[in-house]
Amino acid sequence: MMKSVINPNIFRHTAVASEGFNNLCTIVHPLRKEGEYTGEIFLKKQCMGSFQLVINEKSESTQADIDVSLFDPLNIRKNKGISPNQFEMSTDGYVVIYASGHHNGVHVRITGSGDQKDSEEFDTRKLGKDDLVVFRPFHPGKYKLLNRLAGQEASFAIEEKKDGGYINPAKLEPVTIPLTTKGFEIPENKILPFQAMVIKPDIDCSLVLEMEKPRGKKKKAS
Amino acid sequence: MALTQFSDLFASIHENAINNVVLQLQRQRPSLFNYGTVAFVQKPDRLCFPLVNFIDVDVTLFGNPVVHQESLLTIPGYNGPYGMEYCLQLRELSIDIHPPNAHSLPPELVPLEKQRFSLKGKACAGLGCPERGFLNEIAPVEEPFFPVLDLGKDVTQPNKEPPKENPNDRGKEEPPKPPDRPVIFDRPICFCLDLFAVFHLEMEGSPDNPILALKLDNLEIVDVKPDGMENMVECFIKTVIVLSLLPKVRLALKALVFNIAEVLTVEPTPVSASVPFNPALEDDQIKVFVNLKV
Amino acid sequence: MPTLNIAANEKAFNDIIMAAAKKLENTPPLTGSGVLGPFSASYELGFRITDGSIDLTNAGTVHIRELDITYDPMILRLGIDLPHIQIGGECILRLFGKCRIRLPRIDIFGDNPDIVVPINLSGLITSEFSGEFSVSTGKQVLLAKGTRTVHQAHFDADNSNEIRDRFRTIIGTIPLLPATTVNSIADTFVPMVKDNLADKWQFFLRDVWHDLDIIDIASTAENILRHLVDFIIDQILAPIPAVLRTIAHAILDPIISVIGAVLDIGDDVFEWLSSFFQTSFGLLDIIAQLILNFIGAMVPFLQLETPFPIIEDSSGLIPVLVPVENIAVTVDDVEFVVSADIL
Repeated sequence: MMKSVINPNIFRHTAVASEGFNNLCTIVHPLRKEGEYTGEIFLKKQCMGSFQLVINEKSESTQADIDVSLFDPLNIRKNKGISPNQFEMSTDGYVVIYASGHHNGVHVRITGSGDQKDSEEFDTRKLGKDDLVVFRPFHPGKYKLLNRLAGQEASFAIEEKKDGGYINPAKLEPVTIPLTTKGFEIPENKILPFQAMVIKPDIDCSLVLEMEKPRGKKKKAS
Repeated sequence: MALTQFSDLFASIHENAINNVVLQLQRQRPSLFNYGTVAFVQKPDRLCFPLVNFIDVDVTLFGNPVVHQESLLTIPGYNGPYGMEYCLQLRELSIDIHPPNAHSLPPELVPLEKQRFSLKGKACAGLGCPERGFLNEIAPVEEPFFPVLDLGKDVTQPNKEPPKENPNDRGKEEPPKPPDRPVIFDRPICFCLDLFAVFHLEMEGSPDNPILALKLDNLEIVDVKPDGMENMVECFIKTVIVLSLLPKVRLALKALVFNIAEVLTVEPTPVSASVPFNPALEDDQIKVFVNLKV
Repeated sequence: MPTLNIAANEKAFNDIIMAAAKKLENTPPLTGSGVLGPFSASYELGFRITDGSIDLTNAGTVHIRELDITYDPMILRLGIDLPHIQIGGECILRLFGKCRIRLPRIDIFGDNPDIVVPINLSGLITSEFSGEFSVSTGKQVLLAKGTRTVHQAHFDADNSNEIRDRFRTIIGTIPLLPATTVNSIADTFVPMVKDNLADKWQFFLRDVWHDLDIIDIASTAENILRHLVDFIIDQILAPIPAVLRTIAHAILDPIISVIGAVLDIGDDVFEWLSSFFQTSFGLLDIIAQLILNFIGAMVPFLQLETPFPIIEDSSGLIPVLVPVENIAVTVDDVEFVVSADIL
């Protein structure tokens, strides 16, 4: 029997909430003030790890990719005790927070240190118009997109092609979905598996992606 | 013409090879060709034809007998323990397969028929003759003859016949026991006779294990007189050959054919117009025809 | 004129040689490894002789005609070092023509993206061996015999490693065979030859020419090979639920074409398999050499002891051994003849 090499986490989740996210969701946030920041990663209520972020005008890096899964003590042990907990970016850069592993219900809080000590800068549970939220669903079926704060929702479908013929996701362009007071403006109601859905909110939001009806399966009771 | 024209496998052996085989047989199985009583078994160098430089070293190394032991020769009329020693040897054996060209046959055996071969050999016999002094020593002391004579009333025998030890034994003779003590001798008195015999081959055994066996047709000893003695000696040697020698000289046919894999078996080619004799004795060779079965 | 002749007609000779060739089936499976482009490959290969015939020629040679060899077992294992295929990396914010934010990439494969794909083609592929051989003889005199007399040598079993070591040296000349395989193959043939310490006249077939080709691939095997890329991809995707497999297939698109290009099977599966065997493993050479060494240099098809035991031992008497010399072999299109002198 052949050993499995496929990363099972990629196909693990079919729903996600921005307040406690998993690998279906990437959150992007700008930080403009120069200085030192501390980030804390929480898995549900438990602090999983922390990191240092330095924002420096002279830095050439325009984004800091923070993979919360790498802060799992198990992964640190696998990595021989090394975890990437030092990040740096320029004053016009963006913090990109995501999960590559199985973790679900994650939130991150970034606070200033040094002169900005204890002044809250960003919490992934409170998203606003400067942020971007990217969802990447893959399982064929009907989905709902929800903004809990404003009671907004929209529907779309992940297209199923019965005989294959899917396009390599690497070749798919992201779909941009503005979120305004009028709601979600989904330009296409059929999304392809693993196609990035980039939600640009104009308002404060707490987003949820859930599967309304998987192909061939009854909807689970919530 | 191909050797395997009438069979799958063919084997032939020339009379020269056979003569070499017989020579090896004499050297490696000397007890088939040399017989004698105890003195000759214990000291084979006392034989008429010494074997010391003739037999294979492995005969001695493996403790095989050189001389086949025979019982002492009974002395007729003598009831004592002594017997005479003797030896008998078959030597200078050679074979001549039809057509005859290896040796000349005596007139009694000519011509050598087809599918026959002749064997020439020398039969040597030796008798261990005791010295007179020894004989005098071992001669039994019997009761002397005491004649009782009736010569009339005027002549009388003053001495009477001594009484027998056991009156009841008078007239009884005990059965002779086989001698178990050899008469001592210095050297045997030897003589040799030229011997000729004609044989043919027969196939014996089973189809799985065919065996070539020798059969005797006729035998002739040259120049023994009187004729009665010649006939007697011929009879004796014939008996020795048939009963003693021939049963021991049988050739497993499998020795002449391939023996490679367990899946192959061999069987003699059936006799037919193409193969009238199997084995065949011709062209100075023994020829064997075999079929192969997978 | 030789004093002993033994002859076998073409049919008998054919039966004898084919029975000997059947012993090749006792060879333990060959194992080895090689490369196929960026892939590693290993194999496990055994034989069955299923057909063939022997002709004798007027040129004095033995022609082995179309010896069919079916490979069983035949298991190829392709080791694929999978590249790091990722999802993500899209640009989600552009300013002044430059990408400002790019989504992070996540590996679709786990930490150690190496897989081994077993391909079982046992009993489905057949090669054909043909060749022409001359017959040669040689006398084996074992050092272990020492100063033994001929009868001692006849009785004493050969407990030395002379034959084994000689076979290992011969098999060891075949390239690419690991030492353990060399030893196990050589040791399989030893009992076919090892006997007592007496000298032996041995008869071998020496190579004049030979040819080994793949001639037949069963439709099952052909199907596997034609769709080998799909087979490999299906093996990789096996753990994924069926509904998602075609999606994952699309993600693997970059490596599918690479695998296909590397394997490059094309329409002529015969040609591909022959080339794959030979280029990746030198396997056809190995098999051919094995047959040649077995037939030619190592295992005699006939072995005669000398001196030859013409009357076996019984009742404790030593066997009657007769020296056999001046062995000669004659071959024509009718029969194979061995002649010798009994001295």
